[in-house]
Amino acid sequence: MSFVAGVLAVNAAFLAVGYALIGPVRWRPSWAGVALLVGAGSVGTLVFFATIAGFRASLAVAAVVAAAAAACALVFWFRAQHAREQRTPPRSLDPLTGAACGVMIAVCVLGVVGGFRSSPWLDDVWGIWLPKGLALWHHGLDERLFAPSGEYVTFGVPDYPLWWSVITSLDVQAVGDLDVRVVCAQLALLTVAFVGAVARLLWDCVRPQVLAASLLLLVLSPELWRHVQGGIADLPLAIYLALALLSGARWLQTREPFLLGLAGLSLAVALQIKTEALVEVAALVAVAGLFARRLLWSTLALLAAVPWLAWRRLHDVPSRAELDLTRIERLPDATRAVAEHLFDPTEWLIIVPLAIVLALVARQPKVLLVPAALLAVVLFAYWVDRDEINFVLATSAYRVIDPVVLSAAVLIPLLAESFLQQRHPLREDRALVGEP
Amino acid sequence: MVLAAAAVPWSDGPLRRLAGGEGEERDAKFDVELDARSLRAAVSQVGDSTYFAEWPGGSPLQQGNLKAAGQLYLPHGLPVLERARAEWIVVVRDGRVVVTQRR
Repeated sequence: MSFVAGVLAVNAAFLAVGYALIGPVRWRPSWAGVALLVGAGSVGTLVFFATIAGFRASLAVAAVVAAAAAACALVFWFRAQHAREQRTPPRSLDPLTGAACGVMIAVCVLGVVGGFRSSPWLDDVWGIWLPKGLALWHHGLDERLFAPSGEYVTFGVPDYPLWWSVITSLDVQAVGDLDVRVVCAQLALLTVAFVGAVARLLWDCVRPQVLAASLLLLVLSPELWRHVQGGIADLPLAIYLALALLSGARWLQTREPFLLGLAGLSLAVALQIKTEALVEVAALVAVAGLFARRLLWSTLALLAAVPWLAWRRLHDVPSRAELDLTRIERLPDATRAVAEHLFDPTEWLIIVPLAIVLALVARQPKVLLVPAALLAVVLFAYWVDRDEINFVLATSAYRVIDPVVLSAAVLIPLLAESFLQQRHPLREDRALVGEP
Repeated sequence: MVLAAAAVPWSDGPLRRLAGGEGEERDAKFDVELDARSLRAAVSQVGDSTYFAEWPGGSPLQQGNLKAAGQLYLPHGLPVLERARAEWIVVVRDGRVVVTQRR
């Protein structure tokens, strides 16, 4: 199969599984972004678990787990008693909003084209992530390669979970030949799916002008597409954490069980992407508990980390993190470097400062605890890390902030809408008392 | 307009970079000079055997790139830490990979 056809075929399968998982009431094109993220997240996680159970990360194994997941989901949905989702009445777009949507779609199209034409610039991608995926395909989770033994050359960062390696390995297998561009192509598709998912989940509660402007701010951020073309694993991690946050926020508004399930699934997938996700998910759940006790149920998502932690423990795979709290002098440098990346308008435009301002003017500063908790995890990791601080900041600070940025990005439309709704009654009150 | 701006071949603006510029090859962008074609050619020789990769006189960066290249292009094989345990020796000469059977 050709390169483009192979990647598209894998993603078509993810999409089909995703649609099965989100249920027949959402079988509409507008749910494609959510479906792709749910499908890729679920299949990648299940194949990863299959490798822990002794299987290889092959297309055949992926096909079996995908079919099983889809079948179980369909049985569940057809048995479940549920009201049909009410169709959202079509909302007309004013010319300016229409133009913003057009530019956003064009930028996303270019981003996908660029993903398919880019070889990842980050050496970790071709040096660690993809080779691990290929080894999972050919050898399975072979302890000779995945656990330090003194006899075989093992992979770098052996404590990292392997979802991203599994996904990109499936792409290579579908293409039929080693082509490292699959990593950027896959990441571009997930990124566009994320944009579509945010639009879908907020369509019913945020006015189109606000939603279009917020998403335009995200897709016009140079760093977003630079990370896509780098094949950086921090970006899918950020995508799933932000999806969990958004689903949780929408659940607070609607109390729709599906949204709570989507939040839990997104957290579970995030745990399979990078080691720091364990602390980030725990931090998010703790903050979520401040908003609604029932959100503490998402703590159950942490169970999804158990299989990999158990395998690591069984095979003596060491953790990179070292809990040495004596090196507090690393914090000022780390804070400065991270803040520079968060607030540099040439990287993420004004996403983070805008989220802060909106939270303050909308009188919801508590919401800022979410990105603040993720930021605290990043800074804590730099505090206890073993490597030389300037080296580690130069090679990672620009990307480990992705979860902070994307969480701020999904809060912007919610906060802006909240602010506008607060202003509306104020205007009516002024009219009542005869003020302008 | 956005799509058209990206397609203009002589521009080097952000939209063209977004679309992948001139486009890149299917091989890894190594930090050092390392011929990917010779790595692809080595796949059939090494197969699923053990191999030992070395870059005589190579810097840590060159050694690191070779280690990663072996794991990427020779995924059937098993890289070993000791030369004496390897069935195949993967050596870099003038940026090209040469594979020989260990005697």
